[in-house]
Amino acid sequence: MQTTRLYARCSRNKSAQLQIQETAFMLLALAFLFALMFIFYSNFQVKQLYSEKNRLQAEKAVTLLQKIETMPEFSCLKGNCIDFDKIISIRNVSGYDALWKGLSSIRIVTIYPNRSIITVYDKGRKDITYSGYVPLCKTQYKEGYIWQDCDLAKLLVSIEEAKAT
Amino acid sequence: MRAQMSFNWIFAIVVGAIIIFLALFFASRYLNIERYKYDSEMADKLAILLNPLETSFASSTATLIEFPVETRISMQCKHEGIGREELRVATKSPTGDAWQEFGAAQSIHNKYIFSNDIEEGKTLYIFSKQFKMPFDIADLIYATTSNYCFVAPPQGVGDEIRDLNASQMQLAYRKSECRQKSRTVCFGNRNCDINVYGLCYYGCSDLYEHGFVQQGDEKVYYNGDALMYAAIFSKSELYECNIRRLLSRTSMLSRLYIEKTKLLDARGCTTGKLSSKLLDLNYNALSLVSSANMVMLRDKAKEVENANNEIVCKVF
Repeated sequence: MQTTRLYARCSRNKSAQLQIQETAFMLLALAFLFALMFIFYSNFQVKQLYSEKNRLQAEKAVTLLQKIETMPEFSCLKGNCIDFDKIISIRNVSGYDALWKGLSSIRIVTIYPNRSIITVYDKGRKDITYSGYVPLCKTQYKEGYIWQDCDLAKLLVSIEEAKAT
Repeated sequence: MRAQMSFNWIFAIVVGAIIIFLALFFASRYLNIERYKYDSEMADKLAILLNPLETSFASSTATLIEFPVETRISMQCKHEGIGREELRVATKSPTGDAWQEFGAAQSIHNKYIFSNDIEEGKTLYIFSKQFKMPFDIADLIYATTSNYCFVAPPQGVGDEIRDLNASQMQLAYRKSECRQKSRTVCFGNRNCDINVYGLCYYGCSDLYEHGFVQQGDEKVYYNGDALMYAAIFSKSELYECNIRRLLSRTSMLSRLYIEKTKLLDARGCTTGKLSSKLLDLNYNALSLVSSANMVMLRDKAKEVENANNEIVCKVF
């Protein structure tokens, strides 16, 4: 009689242990599933974040294209153009790199009549580039006459691209 | 059987509580991160929105930015070298803590924004004005969420505010005519929240061409209209920091124009004494550490302007 009672208690304990083990494994599997879901979701979120950052960077570059043209470091004496003498001079002035933070390069490419590239700032990275057409003017002087000699040029502004590491 | 049932119940309750706690914890963390992300994006967008304001050829422009919700804007300034301003945004939430910590800082190197260290409201009024010394240095941006009332301003200031047609800036003959809760600005007397004193007694068209602005115990000096508005709309620490940034930019532009005079000279178009005057302006701009000696720079700037006016090939 006592042996039968002991056997019944042992079998009950065993089934309870099994039940607990089942629940624990199920919880473990559930936790694993949630962790997996979280990894996928956070990856998706990081990608979204980078694409949003790049969209904002692009907006910044487009607005900077307009702004750079009117900055005192680039603007002509009169009218809406870039001063050739200023962009040549700016390369000899130290401290301007801090002003171009967030940008990876500023270049001016003359298109007509001659083709040449003037690099104002270059960080040495290959990033997204935006461009706009601008007149590039140089002050000329001969026999008491002064005039503005203008070329057609393209202003290229490159911005740092946010990349997921 | 009863003991086992109670154990199962205890196990389920403990595990359930842990799951509910973790779910709530992650949900609240997620909401906080989302708010931080939103606030950081707002700061980035705000900095982009300010770009077109500087491309204007007009001497001054005014506009406003409406936020979808009540917003706090924090401005901090660092003046080393060309310096920078750090713009942070926090938005009010209808649920949970109304105000959370500010989002990520947006560093601005090429703008000079004058405001209180924290502005709070749903509408941000923006007003910008060119700053010259004597050549263009930058467009100063004044940002405020408060209303201002200018009491009996000098003719030039009054005309400019009228032309801007900005709703947050009121003109009044007497202080009693000012709208309630607006910050009052007086000229030449100390009855208002902000008091402007002119110090230009000789060789000026207006007494207020240079002077100082007093807000409580804080006193800052200005030179020209652009800096006078800057002193009115901003906190003194932010003003002094931006002045140092502007002086650094003045020095850099002076050196740029010195290089330009060399190119013009090489082309046979002599620039006379301009180069030495620019060098003088550069040294003076670098030596100033506060707004108190701005008037010294004004004389140097006038010398540069005169030297540029005398030559055939204008440098600026």
